[in-house]
Amino acid sequence: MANWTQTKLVYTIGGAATLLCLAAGGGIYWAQGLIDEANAQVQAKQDLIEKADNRIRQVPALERDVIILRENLGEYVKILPDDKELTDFLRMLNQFNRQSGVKSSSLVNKQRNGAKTTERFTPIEYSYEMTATLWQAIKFMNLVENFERFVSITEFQISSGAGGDKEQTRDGDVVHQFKLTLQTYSYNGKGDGKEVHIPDYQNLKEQLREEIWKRMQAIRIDRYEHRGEMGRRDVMIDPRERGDATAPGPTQEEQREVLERNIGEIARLRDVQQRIKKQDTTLFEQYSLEKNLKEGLDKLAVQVDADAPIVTYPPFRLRWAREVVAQLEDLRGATVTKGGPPKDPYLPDAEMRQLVADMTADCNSGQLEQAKTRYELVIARLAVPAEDPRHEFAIQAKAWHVKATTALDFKALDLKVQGVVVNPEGRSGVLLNGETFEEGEYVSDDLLVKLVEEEQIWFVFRGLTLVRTM
Amino acid sequence: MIRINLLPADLRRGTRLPAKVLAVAFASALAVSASIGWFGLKWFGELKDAEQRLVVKSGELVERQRKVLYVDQLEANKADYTSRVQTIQDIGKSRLVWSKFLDELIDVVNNEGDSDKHLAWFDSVVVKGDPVRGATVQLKCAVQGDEQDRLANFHDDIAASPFGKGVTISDPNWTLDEDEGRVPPTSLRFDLNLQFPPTVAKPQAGAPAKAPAKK
Repeated sequence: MANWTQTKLVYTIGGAATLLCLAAGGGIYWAQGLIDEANAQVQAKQDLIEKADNRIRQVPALERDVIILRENLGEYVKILPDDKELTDFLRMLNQFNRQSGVKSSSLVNKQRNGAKTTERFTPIEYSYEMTATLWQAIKFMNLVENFERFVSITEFQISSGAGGDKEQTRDGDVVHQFKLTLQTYSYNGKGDGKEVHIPDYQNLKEQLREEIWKRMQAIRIDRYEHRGEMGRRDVMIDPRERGDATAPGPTQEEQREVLERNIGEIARLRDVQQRIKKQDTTLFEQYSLEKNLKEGLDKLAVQVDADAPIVTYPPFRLRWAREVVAQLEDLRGATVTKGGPPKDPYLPDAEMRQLVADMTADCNSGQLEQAKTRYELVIARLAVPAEDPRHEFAIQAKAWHVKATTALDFKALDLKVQGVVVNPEGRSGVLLNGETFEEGEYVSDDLLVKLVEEEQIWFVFRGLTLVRTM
Repeated sequence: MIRINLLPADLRRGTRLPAKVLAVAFASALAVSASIGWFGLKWFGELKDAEQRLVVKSGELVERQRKVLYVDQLEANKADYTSRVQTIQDIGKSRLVWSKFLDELIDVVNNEGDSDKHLAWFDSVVVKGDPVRGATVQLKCAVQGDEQDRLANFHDDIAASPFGKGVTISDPNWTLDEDEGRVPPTSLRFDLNLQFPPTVAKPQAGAPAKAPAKK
């Protein structure tokens, strides 16, 4: 090196320095690339974080929705039976048979075998065949449709049993053939394991209690209270009069004549009643009209009793009940108020006994409205004095009326039983319309929770013990 | 004359590093130091800093992703529950209360006991429910007598009944029937079909019509 020329030395140093600088520059360029890449990744992650934050901000609202939906679903699915409850459903069908009086001949499961058990909602269809009078069948259908678990009658067929050699009667009504398809859904909510764990669930649920309750009202299964026969004729029977010579009783024309004669007399007495109310009649006229009305009513009451068995033609029976019997009672009621009681203002003994028997049957078969109506139609003629032998029946009829009215009022309370806690060693409790009540606690002034069992709750409502099944 | 240079060899003018070389060397050293220093700053400063930020962000993202997973699960639960609730509501809405229908039909036929307007009865009633297309009711009917206006009255009363709203009623048609065993012997027999409106708005797979799919 000592022999190197100055120029050579300068170039060597310069060259080496340049190489090193270039290498450093390359390193800087490469490092910058890595930095940019890292920054881009940071930015990308920042974007993802922002997006995540946006979604995380939805957590409270989502938790709220999920809690409400989960709690509501828990309630909603109670309308659908699980496998165990399906067997209970069959027991209920048997009970409905007894209550309505229908006689079933077959029950065939139409769809269960082919359905996939993995489905969450599995439709189950039963074909149900039975014989019944029209009123029994409607009562049965009504009981099925008012069953606490959702059951739908998807198809039905009524074949008239009237006419022909095989005509059968039950309680005086013709028996028809019925074929029903009953459909329900089995809910399989088990074994999914996908329910997300929400921290502090119980607390949040408590805060959302009102909202849960409000949304729960969204599902309402239509129910209907069947009114019973109410003097109507069976529409599956040809109502025309039999024209054969052996047909007993008066003809249709004769029956119409009887009906219209009585309706005419009612109209005449109504007119007399209206004239009594007028201010421009003299005292003498008043006396004369009142006497006329009183005598007319007495005469008509006797006549109606005598004519009642004559009117058998089904279309006339409804008119007889509404336009004669009910109107006569109305007139008599008004006259009793105004002019004192008639000679025997009370129901005859036989009718009184029949009323009690009918009301007992109505109440036992769940026809509460019909029992109530029966009583109220003749209420003016039930105020029998204590010394009268009919008093006992009047009291019995009144007791059934109180029971029917109380039960109907209880039904109208719209109590929603959301759960029970049965404690065999202490006081059991029930979750009712969103509030918890223990045995012995009052829900309202006249409603007490008496006993809570797994399948039913005993209430005391206005002194009457009523059982609400789950 | 003989000249003798007594200076050490490296200090002699002829052999010492010239100033130019020293200057170049110095400049080179400066440039190289600057370059390497810059590279060092980039590598150990900015890059490590960026990497550090990346690690922090990755950590934050992992944390967020856990929460996002929770959001996903909540959304999945919500969609699942909504679908199930909807199905149950559809099931509930799909039902027609046939005991109510029969009660109302009997009221129409009884017509408050007025048999002059029409006096009808049925031989059979066939009801087929279909929430999607609407239920159908097939009635094999008869009205007393041979006067067509009674049949028309009956049709009108069916249309005006509580269940008649939204129901499509088949056109009137009849055949005269005579039964000498009855008074009057004549009656008009006819098929009356009632088509109810659908109870479920959209025909979806999973609607409770026949076989709801898994929800």
